[in-house]
Amino acid sequence: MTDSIRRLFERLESDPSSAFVDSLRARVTDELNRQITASAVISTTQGDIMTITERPPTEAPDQQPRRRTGIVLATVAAAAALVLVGVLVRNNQHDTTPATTLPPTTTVSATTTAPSTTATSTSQLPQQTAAPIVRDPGIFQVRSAGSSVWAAGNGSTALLRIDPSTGATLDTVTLPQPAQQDWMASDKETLYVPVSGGVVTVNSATKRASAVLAPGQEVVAMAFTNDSAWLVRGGTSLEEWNLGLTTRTRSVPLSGFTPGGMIGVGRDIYLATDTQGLLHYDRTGTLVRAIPKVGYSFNLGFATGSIWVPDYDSGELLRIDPKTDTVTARIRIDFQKSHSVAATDSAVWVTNYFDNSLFEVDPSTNAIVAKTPANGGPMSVAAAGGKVVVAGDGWLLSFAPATR
Amino acid sequence: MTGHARERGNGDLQSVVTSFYDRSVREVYGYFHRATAGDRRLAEDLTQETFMACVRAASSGLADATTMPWLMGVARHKLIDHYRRSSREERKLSLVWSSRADEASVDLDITDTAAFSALAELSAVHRLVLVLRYLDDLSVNQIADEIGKSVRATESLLVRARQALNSIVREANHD
Repeated sequence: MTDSIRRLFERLESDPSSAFVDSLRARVTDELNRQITASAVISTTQGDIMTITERPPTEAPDQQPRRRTGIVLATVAAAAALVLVGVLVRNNQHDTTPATTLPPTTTVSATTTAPSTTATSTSQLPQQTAAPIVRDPGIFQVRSAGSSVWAAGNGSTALLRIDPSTGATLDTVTLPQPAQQDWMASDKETLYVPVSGGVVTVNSATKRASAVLAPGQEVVAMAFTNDSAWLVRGGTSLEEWNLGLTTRTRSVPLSGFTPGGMIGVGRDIYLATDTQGLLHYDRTGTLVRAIPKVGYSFNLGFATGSIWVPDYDSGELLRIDPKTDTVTARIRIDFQKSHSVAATDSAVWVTNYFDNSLFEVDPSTNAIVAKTPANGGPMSVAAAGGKVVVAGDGWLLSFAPATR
Repeated sequence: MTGHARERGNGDLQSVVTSFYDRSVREVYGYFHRATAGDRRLAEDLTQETFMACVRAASSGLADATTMPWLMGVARHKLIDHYRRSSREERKLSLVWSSRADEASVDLDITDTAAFSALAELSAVHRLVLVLRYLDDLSVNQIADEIGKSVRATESLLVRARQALNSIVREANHD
């Protein structure tokens, strides 16, 4: 069996075309020159402080990739250099993103405001430890709705209401269909669970699950505005429903990107994508703007008047002002794989799959104020009842916020 | 390092990186070509992403960035990232915590005609774990670490991937 599979791979051996090799060599040379030029700018203006430029990129292969602990800024001048390098590197990274076509009738407006870049030395942070409060192979995701914390698994019909402090199961709700891998969403006391063929709503007060609503293709993202629920259906359409999911009022075709997380802000919605930046739609489903240089994100948060985006590609936590649709801060969490966010007015929490940690950010300063090792592969995060609960594949953990 | 020292080193850096590129591009592309079941366009995209990362790391002063172990590690991360996304998109993640099967009961009889298409028909996550296990020679523990799943879940996923592959090949042979 083993040898057979190896031979199978061997049969796929192939050389690249010479045109591709030549083209990529030219791109490598061009990118190298660009990087050197960026470094030269810093060298000229800052002299010897080149030694504190950002560590290299995202990819840290075999040699303990999760050991990174951040950057120590020794002087004010060093911090200034870091900000400049961060912006330059960020720009360069996005220069390599292939152009894609936006849906018709869209207006794209590039932002011009340079965001502040914040890098914090995480090695000096108070480090909490937290043992899993739940070990259950069926656990995959966690979400708060009102004061309740709900946990569910991919492919499981069991939806668990969890005590965020002890992990004790307070209630078990049986879903009419197994939950999908796509994340649950909530609007006030109502939890929305994507299931095979639609969505099930669960009232946190009554602990009752609905039948399968909004039937159709699988729902991969959900967001809520004042009076509507918005669903991304199978990556192909954006649909507006009433909050009870009984009536569909609008359907907008989507194409050209893989949708990520979505969030409602007032009457508008914002949708993360892998290639188009963060898309801003108005209440009619019309694309208002594509906010560039925002990478793919599995979910979005909204608090303190800002949209919080955990950028899976760059590892940064992006803060976006929805009044201007500009990125106002880029907070360095790690070099890639920031995964999920829970945002409140007092703190913003981000899970990072690369560093296997949970980070807490103070929104008043955009500084990282705590870092917590989070078992293996932290994914979704929820805040409720004075606790923060993180879910990974088969476990939950709980800890107290550092910010009060 | 001063600015002057960096300038003196720039020529060397260009030489080192381009020379390394010429030595390694075929191996990197070949890895992606096998790992993506012969998807030439995807293999090219991932190869490009890998070398862009190499350039950025090398220009930031990471000496390891122009070594094959580092580069292939980056390549593997690029592949995993790709499959994580496509898994989400394709809705093909397995229910990894359900019943486990007996690996010994799986037997693969691969013909030449079925071989090439078999891997392409696998779901993204199944192909990924087979690539990590049989192309990268990672242990189950290492695979679990790479894809962020428990060892038990990864074992189960591997069993299911092998079963799926066996099933595809068997169907192809019957046709």
